[in-house]
Amino acid sequence: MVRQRMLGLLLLLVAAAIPLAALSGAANAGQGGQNESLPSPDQIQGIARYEFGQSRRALSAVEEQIRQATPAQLRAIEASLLDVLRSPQATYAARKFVCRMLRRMGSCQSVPVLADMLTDAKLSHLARLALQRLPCPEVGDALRQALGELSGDLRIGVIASIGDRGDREAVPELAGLVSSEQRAVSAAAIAALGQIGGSEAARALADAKVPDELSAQWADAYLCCADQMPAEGMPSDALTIYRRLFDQTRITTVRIAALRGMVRAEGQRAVPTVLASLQTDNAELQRAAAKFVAEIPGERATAAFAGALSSLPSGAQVVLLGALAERGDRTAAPEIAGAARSGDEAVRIAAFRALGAVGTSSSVEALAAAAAGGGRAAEAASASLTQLSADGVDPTIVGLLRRADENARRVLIRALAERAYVQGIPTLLEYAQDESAVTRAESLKALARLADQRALPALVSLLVRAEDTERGAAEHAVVAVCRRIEDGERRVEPVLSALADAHVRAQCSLLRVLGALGGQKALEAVRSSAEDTNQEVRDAAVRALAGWPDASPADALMRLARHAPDEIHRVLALRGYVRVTGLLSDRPPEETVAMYRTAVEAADRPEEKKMVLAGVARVPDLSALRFAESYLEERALRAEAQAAYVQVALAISGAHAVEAQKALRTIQTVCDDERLRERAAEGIRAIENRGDYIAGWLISGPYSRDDREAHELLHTTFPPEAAEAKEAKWRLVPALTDPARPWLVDLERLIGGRDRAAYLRTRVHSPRMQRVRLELGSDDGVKVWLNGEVVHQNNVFRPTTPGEDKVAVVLKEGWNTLLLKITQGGGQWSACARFRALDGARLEGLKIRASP
Amino acid sequence: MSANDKGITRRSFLTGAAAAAVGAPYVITSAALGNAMRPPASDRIVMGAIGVGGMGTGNMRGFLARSDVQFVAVCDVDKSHRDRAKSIVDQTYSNKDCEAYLDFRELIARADLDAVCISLPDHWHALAAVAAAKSGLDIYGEKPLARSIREGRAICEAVQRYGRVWQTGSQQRSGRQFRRACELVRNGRIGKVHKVEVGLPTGPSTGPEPVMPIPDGLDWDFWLGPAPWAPYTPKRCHWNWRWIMDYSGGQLTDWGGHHIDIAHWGLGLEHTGPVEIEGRGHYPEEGLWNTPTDYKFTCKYANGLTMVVANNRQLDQGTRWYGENGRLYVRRGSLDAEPKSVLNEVIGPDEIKLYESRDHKQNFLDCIKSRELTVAPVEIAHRSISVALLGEIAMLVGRRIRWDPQKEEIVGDPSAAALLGRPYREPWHL
Repeated sequence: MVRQRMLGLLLLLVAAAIPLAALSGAANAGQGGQNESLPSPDQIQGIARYEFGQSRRALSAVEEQIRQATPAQLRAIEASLLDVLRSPQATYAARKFVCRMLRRMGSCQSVPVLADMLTDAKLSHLARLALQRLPCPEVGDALRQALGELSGDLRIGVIASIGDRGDREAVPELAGLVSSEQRAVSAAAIAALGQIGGSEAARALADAKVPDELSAQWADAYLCCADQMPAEGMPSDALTIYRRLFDQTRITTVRIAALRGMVRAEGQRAVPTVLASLQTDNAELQRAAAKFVAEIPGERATAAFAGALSSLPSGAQVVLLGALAERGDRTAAPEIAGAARSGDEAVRIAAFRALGAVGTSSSVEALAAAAAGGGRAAEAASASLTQLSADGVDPTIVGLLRRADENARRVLIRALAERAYVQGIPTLLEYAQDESAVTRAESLKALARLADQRALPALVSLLVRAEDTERGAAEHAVVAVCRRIEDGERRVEPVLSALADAHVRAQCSLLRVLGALGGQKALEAVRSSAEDTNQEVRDAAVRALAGWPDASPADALMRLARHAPDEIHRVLALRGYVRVTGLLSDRPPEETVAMYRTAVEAADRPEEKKMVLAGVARVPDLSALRFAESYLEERALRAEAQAAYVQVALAISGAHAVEAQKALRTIQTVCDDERLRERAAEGIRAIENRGDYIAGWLISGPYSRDDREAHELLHTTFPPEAAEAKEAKWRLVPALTDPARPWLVDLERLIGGRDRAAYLRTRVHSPRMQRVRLELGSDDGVKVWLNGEVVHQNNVFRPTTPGEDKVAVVLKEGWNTLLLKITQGGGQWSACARFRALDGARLEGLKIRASP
Repeated sequence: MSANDKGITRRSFLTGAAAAAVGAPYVITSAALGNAMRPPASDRIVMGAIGVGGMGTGNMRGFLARSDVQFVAVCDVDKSHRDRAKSIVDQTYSNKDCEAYLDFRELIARADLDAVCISLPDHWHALAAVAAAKSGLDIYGEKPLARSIREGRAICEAVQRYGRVWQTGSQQRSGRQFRRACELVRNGRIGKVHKVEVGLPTGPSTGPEPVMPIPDGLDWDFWLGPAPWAPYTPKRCHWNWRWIMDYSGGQLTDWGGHHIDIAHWGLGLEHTGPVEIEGRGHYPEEGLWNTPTDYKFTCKYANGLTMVVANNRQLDQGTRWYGENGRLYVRRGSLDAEPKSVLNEVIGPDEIKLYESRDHKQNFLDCIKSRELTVAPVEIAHRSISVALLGEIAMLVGRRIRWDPQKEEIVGDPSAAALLGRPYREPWHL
């Protein structure tokens, strides 16, 4: 207590700025009663000398003392902090800290010191930071006084502070500044008047003459005043302002805001104004008015709006119908049904849409009739048939089916499908055998969406008996239903059992279905049908194999490509083989290239060989590069081979930089295609710009756990970091994922997603054992293993900054394995790494190999 | 967008300007007329992106992928960001038409825009959002809504006054699992809830960072904008700003906009707030970053409910409601309950069904056309982040604060109340 009194006394004696040396004197007053809850002289000196870039330890200690302090202690701390502000030697960084603290705990004793800073160009903002919300009447005086003394930006800052404080005493001075020749000062004064509000500020704004470019800001401030008035007991004044702005302003957004003010102030009495706004030719205002139709509550308002519907021009009717739909009040349904008979198409469309929201089962017939017509009205009516939510709609639709004509029946069946009315499946199976082809087709479409396993035998039987023209629809329905059955092998059973006894056309249909579904049992059946005695059946089977969803029929296709008696089948099978080879799979890339080699050897014609080269181009592997290279000289295939050569070279340029550069240089000399040469040149430049960042990586992932987020995944063990690591699948990272940043592995582009992790692995050959620096950047977290040992981890959310993490590691002589784990929280996902000497110099003699 | 389309944007259609332009000699290109995959220009929503760093570029890509959006402008105070964003847009449309701006006010002043996507550091949110709303633009704004409660209220007022559509980038609201969890809680499946826990990430720290030269192409003074002046260092700027209180509130405000929002959604407290807040934060003592690493605060609501918010060393990350008949826990990728049977509960036709959005960005675009409220509207975003901002204040002053959620005022503590707003560095003002 003694110490605090002495500090207080000292404060009274301090009149003006005191030098830094005196600070210690002030704090010395406390010696002998050392109290850790108050800043020591050293701490205060430390604060005064604090510069950006230094440790904040001294600052943090005082900040913590402030948090712990009693009210009396706070005043003592405040006094010490004010001494820092008074000291001419205190740094800007120190003053910034002090003002942040005073903002949190300052009292009226701070006002004079802070007020003195208001006119200082560097410190004015810091002063306002602390001053603006201090609960002292002196603050208002200080700011108003500064207002007269300042100009330019500093004046604007003070105006903003006055506005934020809602200082009504400042209104006359601010009113004078509205007409300032400096536009920015004028704009700030206008905004401040709006914030302050009240009748005097409103009057000042009402009388203000502002240039056109400030009219929106003026209107905004005027609206702010009006918005505050009802709470201050001046609702009629507010209405006057809204009315003036609504009637006299040309800015649509301001008129909308004024209309909103009127609706809020007047409620149901605003109905006529809203109706008038609906009739304007400004669609944005119309739409806003419609919004307010929805906001005025009560059935009386519904009745008023619905009653006015037929008397409005058609454009306004359209908007109002939308608003009535949003009100969701079914009492408007009769008037809306009336509008659905309008001579104006746009009105009819809007009415059909509104019926979707507020209609009942009695609306079904009118909607179905309209939906059976044509054009946009039919689309709207059709969508509303789906949307109708009242009781009894679905049974009404089923009932109507019996007496509807063909067109209306089509619409009603579609509505049942859209409404997902599964109880209607038996009815739909019945109509799928109707005498009308249109009805049959629509029913099959509906069944494709709704039917389940139980309806499958009936559907397969329909397919077997279908007319040729309807086979497509029936096949589609069977495939759709089968795909919804989880057990891949069981789902084809009804199809397989029908295959045995079906006639030729039906067999062909069933084979196409099996081809779309895939699976082992299906494959066996289709493979044996490819050797059927009937030409049509063989044809369907070959086409089914060629379009298979995975590569499982590859061998069968190759056999057919070589030995099928029919040339067309040989070509189809070969093309199918090339197609399935290119589908996504886990097989190693060199095996894929070997499959392509088999294909090219089986091909007689250049067309299929070109297809093979197009496939090879997508394999990022050295064997693919060699493959493309071997066709560079072949005249008929040269263009495709060159394109593939470049594409593969770019993709493997990380792991095989030397081979890639050689390939790209070759293209520059042998290729006639200018664009391809330019791509090659770009690739060479990127490889050079990459410097010594590692570009040869294998990648494994993404890995995630259902319940874990990115920061937890860094410490979650996935297969690549397990000792055996056998489960992990690795693939080569295509280099140059971002040509502008060739040193970066862009995982977002390669994999994407969030809350997951991926692993990057490479091998580094060092000519000797050496201590080196691993420089890393990662977005987000990173964990690093070198030869199986964890050498670094940083569990962070951050963007990649090259070399942000620097880790000293030991490379052994010979090959070393480097493994990175990169986590992804969200946004970008990337990483980069390189080895440097411990002093940051470039290391010579390292070799990188991505291959396992 | 090609020059020829410019006469017939959606906006000019709506305000009737297109009708006035009839007769002017312009050619309607196929891009303007649209095709089977793409609606015509007059139906497309014309957008600009303000702030195109990591998050902003991601957001922009999300919108660019949609056929009913036409991006025409990007803005960033860092030239490398805006050049990259422009090239992404130009590549998408195979032209060079995207305009790149340094100053967001110039972008907002374009007459052809319908909407903007704002992905700026938090200290810029209010200035950009209020200006965009006043200009009659619809806004997709990144969370947290604002750096302070007063700024959040100013955004709400501007958006509501001018009838703008607002979507907050709190995409968990469009996640099926979160909606399901909230519907279960709302419909009483774990009984009356007395407590909810919200776990958020732990804050990072760094060392003292040396002052560095400002990189070429970065307008550092503009980047600082309304915040107090400070010299450049990379760890103060892109991405890392969120660990410095001049610009952000750290993990608490970065993630509070997600999990506190979900806690409120499940309890129907989205239009109110706590009445008492008390807690402690641990702040890094030495380095540049000064937002709390560990933190924990407790909020009391008027209905007796308690909400505890803490970092994930103290609470599981996500939201956990405690009811008289069980508990329910939700986070990204996980929904769990005690008893487990709660998870199989069916919500009946007459029970509370929460707003369903399956695609956060599409929900925004749909609402631009329908003028309906989005799944994460501005008022709700404000109330969600207010809890985090009140927690921040309570921890900074180190004492319990009382809050009037109706008037949005701290009661009986003027020093704490001073922290509800932030005086802007001149010449910036709202």
